[in-house]
Amino acid sequence: MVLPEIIGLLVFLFIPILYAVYISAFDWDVLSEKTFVGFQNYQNMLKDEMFFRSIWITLRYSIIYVVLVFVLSLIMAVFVQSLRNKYLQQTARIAIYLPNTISTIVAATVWIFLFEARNGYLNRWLTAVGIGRQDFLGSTSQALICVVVVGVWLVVGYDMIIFLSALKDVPESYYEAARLDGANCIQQFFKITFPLIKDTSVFIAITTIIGSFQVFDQIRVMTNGGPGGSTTVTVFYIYQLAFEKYQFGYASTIAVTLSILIMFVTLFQLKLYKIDD
Amino acid sequence: MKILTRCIKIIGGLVFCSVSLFPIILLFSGSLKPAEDIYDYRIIPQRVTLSSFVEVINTLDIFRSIFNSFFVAIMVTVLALLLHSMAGFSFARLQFPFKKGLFLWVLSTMMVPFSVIMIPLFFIIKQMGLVDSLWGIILPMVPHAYGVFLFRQNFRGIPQSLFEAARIDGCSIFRIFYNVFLPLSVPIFITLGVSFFVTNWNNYLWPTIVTQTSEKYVVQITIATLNGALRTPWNLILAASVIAVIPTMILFIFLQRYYLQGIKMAGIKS
Repeated sequence: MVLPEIIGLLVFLFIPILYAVYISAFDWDVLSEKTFVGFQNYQNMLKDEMFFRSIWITLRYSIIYVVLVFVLSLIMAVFVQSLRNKYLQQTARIAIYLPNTISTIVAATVWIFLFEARNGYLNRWLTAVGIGRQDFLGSTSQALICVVVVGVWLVVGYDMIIFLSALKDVPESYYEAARLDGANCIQQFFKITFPLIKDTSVFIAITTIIGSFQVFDQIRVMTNGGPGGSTTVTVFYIYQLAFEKYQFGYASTIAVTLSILIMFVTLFQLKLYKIDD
Repeated sequence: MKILTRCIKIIGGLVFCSVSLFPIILLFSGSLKPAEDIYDYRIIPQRVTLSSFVEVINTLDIFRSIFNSFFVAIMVTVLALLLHSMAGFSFARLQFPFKKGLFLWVLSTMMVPFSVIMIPLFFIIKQMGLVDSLWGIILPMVPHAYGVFLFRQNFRGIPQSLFEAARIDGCSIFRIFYNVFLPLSVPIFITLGVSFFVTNWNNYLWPTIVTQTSEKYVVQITIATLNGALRTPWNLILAASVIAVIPTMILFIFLQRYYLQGIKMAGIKS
């Protein structure tokens, strides 16, 4: 009974990993036969400015995204938890969660509409307030932030729900004791709540970071890597190399490197938070 | 002091809720506006029309991509539930050689990022002759260690004594699975079913790698293509997006409890 799943995992997950490492040792485009080049692709990668640029863009995306998602979802969870009225709590939870039911593609679509340079809502408001028009997706310095905003908007509700269920597990009596000792809200949060939901925080930090390294969908739709390559994150670069330029060998080289990088970051974090599983 | 915190709470709550809801409201209201009014900044449409929907249906062949999306998402969900529950049951209740090692191996595949395997997967699908077919989208999305893990946890919660009693009564393993364990596990089937359906309905990267002709487009690709095409009127794009969003929103509204349960399970795993 276990066999179908095992075969599935073998064919569609395990063999592909080995295959990816194998392909990365070849010079291979669709037209010519593949030729074995050993570590040549890896050496080329180290000289490829576009590759390092994509890693740098991914890191920048990752840092902004992770900080925003973590802080906002935690604040929202604390806010929803603090609502006394059950009905209000329910409504707020649904309102904050709702974006997560939407696909990245549709979300990106609506936000393009909002960000539109000429007649978009945001620019209309900004001119009304006197800040003036922004280029948003057309600007090399703002496009990445716009892409981050969409990612955050989509995922915050999801992490808020996870934080919320962790907050509900903190016994009310702890807070009562703290209040008797005269601790204020902020002290209560940092001395009681935060230490008690540490496992959940670690889980969210790790999954958010892993997710941020794999961003693709909204970039493809919103900027297609541009303007001027300013949103070409590594996964997008891999996609371009493989499925637009047909350099399958070199694209695999970067894919393998990226996965090693992700694994390294994850292990480093587990060490950092001192979790032995 | 009390009034101050209350004020902060009310303002904060309004800001959170409006930021998260505004784009969704805009999506729906934009799809109901006639093309000339699309940049009318009033949220409530001054003139309501369904003409954008009619045009999307007439010109875009949107029903085909909706059908493709349904086919893909439902097939993945059904196959995944079947495979994961059987594997989860085996790991929870059966004895077989290398069980422990095999389970660890299954868990380790959770670490693999999709971006690494997308290129080899494409060639495997090509070898199978499934490029530009719906089955090419479906099959690689089925195996998933995470589902196996959750089913195993669930089945371990069902008492071993039930398993043994049925065994003594002469039930085959399959009958125990089908007649004893499945009826006791309906909630997890719904929870994971909803989560698989939504994930695959919303999936974009893998379908765009597999499909080449517009007949095989899933609805996410159709919308992404509309975005890329110059001069597509906004009201059409928004109307198509609304159509794409409705199934997952309906699922969320009716199965909210299971929906949120699935997320909490992801959190508890930590």
